[in-house]
Amino acid sequence: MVTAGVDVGAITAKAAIIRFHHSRNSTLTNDTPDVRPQLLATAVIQAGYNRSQAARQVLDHALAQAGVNREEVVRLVGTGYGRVQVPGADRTVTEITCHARGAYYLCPDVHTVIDIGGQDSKGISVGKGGKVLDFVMNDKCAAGTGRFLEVMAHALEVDLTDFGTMALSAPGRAKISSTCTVFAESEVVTHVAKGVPKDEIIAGIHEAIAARVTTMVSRIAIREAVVLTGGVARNAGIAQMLEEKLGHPLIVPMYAQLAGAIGAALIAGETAWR
Amino acid sequence: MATDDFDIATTGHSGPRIGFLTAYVPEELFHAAGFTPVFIFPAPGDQGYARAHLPSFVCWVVTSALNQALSGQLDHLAGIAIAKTCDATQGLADVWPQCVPHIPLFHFGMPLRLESPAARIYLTTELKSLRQRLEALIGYAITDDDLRASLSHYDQHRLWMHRLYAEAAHLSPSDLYRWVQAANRMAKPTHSARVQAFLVRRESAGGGPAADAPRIILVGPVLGDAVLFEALAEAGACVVGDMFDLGEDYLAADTNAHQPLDEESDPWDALAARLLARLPTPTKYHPRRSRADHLLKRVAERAAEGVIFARQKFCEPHGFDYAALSRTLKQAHIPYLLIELEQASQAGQLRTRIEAFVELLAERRQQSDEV
Amino acid sequence: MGRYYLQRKVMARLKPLAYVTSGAPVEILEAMGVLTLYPENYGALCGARGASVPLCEVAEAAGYPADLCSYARSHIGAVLEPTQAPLNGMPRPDLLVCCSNICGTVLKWYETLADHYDVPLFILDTPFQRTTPPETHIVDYVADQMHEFVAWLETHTGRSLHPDRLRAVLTYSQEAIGLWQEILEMGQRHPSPINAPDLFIAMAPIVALRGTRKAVDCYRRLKAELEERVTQGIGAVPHERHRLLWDNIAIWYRLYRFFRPFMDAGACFVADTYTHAWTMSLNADDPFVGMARAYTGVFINIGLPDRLAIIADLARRFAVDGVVMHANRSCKPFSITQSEVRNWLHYEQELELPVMILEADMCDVRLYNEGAIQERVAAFLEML
Repeated sequence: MVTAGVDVGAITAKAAIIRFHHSRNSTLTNDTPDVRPQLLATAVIQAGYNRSQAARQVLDHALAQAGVNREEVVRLVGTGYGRVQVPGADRTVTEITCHARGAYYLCPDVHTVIDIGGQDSKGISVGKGGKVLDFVMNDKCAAGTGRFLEVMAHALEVDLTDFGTMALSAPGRAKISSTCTVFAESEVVTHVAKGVPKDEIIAGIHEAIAARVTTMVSRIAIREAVVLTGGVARNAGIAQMLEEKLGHPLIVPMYAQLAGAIGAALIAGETAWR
Repeated sequence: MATDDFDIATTGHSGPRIGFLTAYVPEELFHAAGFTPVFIFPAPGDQGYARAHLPSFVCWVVTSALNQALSGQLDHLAGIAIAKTCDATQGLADVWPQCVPHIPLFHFGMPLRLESPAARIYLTTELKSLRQRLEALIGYAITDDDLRASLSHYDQHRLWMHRLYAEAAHLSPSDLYRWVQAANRMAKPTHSARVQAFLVRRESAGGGPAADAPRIILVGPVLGDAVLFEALAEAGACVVGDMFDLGEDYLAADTNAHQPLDEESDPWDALAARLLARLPTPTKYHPRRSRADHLLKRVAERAAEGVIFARQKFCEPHGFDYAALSRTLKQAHIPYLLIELEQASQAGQLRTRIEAFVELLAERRQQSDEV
Repeated sequence: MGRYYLQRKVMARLKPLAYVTSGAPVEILEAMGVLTLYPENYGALCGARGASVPLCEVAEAAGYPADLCSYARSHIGAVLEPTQAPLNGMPRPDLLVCCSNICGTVLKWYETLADHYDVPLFILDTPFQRTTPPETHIVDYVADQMHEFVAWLETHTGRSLHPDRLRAVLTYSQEAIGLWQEILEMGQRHPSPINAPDLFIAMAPIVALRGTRKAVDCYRRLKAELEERVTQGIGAVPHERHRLLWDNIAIWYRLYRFFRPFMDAGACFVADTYTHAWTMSLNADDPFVGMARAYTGVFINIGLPDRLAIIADLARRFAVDGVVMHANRSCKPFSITQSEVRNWLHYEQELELPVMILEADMCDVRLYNEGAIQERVAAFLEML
């Protein structure tokens, strides 16, 4: 059986295709290795303004990679900010439930998921089988999200892709105390005017995000293994500083950005049997 | 549901209205004076008017009330009543005469301590003071009989609301709270009649949330956002009770706890008793009435699976209440969710959190079924 | 201040210790030999030492929303994680005394503490004073509660209140308040020997040691020192050119840094509403009614017209040319009427004062936009 998950976020759209290898009668869990669902393909594209089009496109990309036709997909689950705009979705499930399941697939020891997306960030307490036990979200404010990094990269005229490495190689970190992106940007401008080296400012920015996210996640119980998901997970600077602030090792799976889509495809398979 | 159930224009009551903004306003007294007390619900709209008079760190309920007053939307009110509860409404009461001189303000100094005998004495005098100020406005006396009649209407209304809340699990959350909001915006006798008629119709109807809908209790100040109830309905949950300041404990409180009313009883005493007898809102204090215990009890009695705190941003009393009550729920392993409402409550964000919470509850129940 | 807390820690082994709100009738406690400590004062200390934010984060992680009063968040953070707090936190209380005259937050804060420490809590309810003089039933209610308070203390401490002792303590209070008032009045001098930031430091005894001999001695010395300055014509700000009024609680983490540009421009804060809030009159002949009136009529528990009268009086008597109002996110009672006060001061025929409202917070530096505030201060100074 083949299922698909499409995660339409504010900035990117993601898709994952999964094949389930088992008969109708066996139980579906991660714990039995020979029935572990197989991740066939994934895809990521910019979401743009037309969410349903983006959903269609990213699904097509993933299907092409997997060598699977749309008709072969038994069930499709939509998730993310734009989940109601995923054409042909059999069901929509929130990205909280999907990230938890996806992180569990990528790392079966997971007990805490930290997801830093373009527009929001979440902390999820995960239980047996990738079920959500508790969650906390910051979706009102850009500080602590990918948007914060974008705004800062723009203010400093630095490429976002270099941001993480510059943060890690800085000898010191400038202090940024505001919780608000707008205030923080003005703090950055002040640092630049004072001649503080760019890499130190960037390090300070990364530290500020790590601090905000840690404060938010501290509202739920943090238990290892702690897994980082979402687009910002690719930024090594964030991952390292977050680890520092949390006081726990952080696992950043290769498919971190796809956790939501993977979780959606898994849930599609699980619920097909009910 | 008949659409004119909630239509205030068809209440048949053409008398003057008094707006109120807090619990502990002695509604029965205003009713006895010939007014219909109506709660001033927050309304959408640019807060520009109010921002010229209030700082940004005041909740939307207070800001919106001033905004509505300054943009002429409250001109149909004969006055407004604010009881001493939180700092924000007290601040509004303080600036109101300066900003909105054409709508008289009635400040009612409800005591903070609900258990103290000295507070009872003070409350009785404060009620008399309010009576005098009201009589000065209307130009005639409010008799004991008038007050007795109003108390009786309100007691009756509580019985009907009690019956409505008993049906909560079978009503869509949007519908339940349309009724609860309507209770706070029209004359109680009218509302009682409509609730009664509705309950009779409902027996034959059916519908409502699925039998396995996750059961939720809501806690918070006012019944602001309709989006909250819609999101709950869409997510397939049902609300089995609440601890809103103007919700179940305000409208459907057990009347056996109060002094029964007859021709002999002192209605002023009875009114004071009713004000003091309720579960304290977070702005009041009673050493033996714990909101945490009350919540746990309600969760158990209604077989609720989760609690949603719908707090207004900048609401200090409910902020502390959330910290204390959520700690109690955590110890009892009862899932809870915090929603913070503000002027521009993003519907999408609200829906995501509520859906995720309902998904969590559904999975939790599935897990315990499997075990 | 460190010594004050250390002394309390030691003495708490011998005497009962009560946490009290800043507007509580501390004279009764002092007269009964009960030690007092002020969590609000501790909150201010945390702010001044730059220690508030980590403690606020502890409270926030425990479920206290970030928009609550920062004194409460700082203190609760210190209670939950004393090792991260200045002076390793405050010593455990035996009793909690909460008077509602300053705000509604203290009720919730003290309920939290009562729950955490599992100790008795007394709430003194001071209804809002709509009119001045206050309505009789309000004074009666508060006076009744004062008596109730004494009985409660006697039960929980095993100590009794001797009327002579109370009279003596009230006399000390009156004296300290009188001295404090005289000190504040010196701001009327040209140049003023006092500047608000200095007074924010000097106010600790009138808040936390009222009713003691120590407070009296302290203010006698300070008064003498200031009189000396007056004699020599020394102003707190060299080349005093502008005389300003400050409204609301101090910005504790910027006590001098904030006022520097003002000082450099020759602007002195000759009067403020925060330090003037401790100039109540305690009628020692009729102690309970006297205390009831004094504690009900504090600055933030009276109606707007009465507050305007006080502010207008300060502005006139101290010959003020401008007003700076701190819109303190943590304190609604102090901040909520500021726009109305500003409009009145600005448009009032006689006064027509330039008024600047700055949104910030007393302890939470995360809410302080350094760049924007510097800009506005500069513009305001140019305007004067």
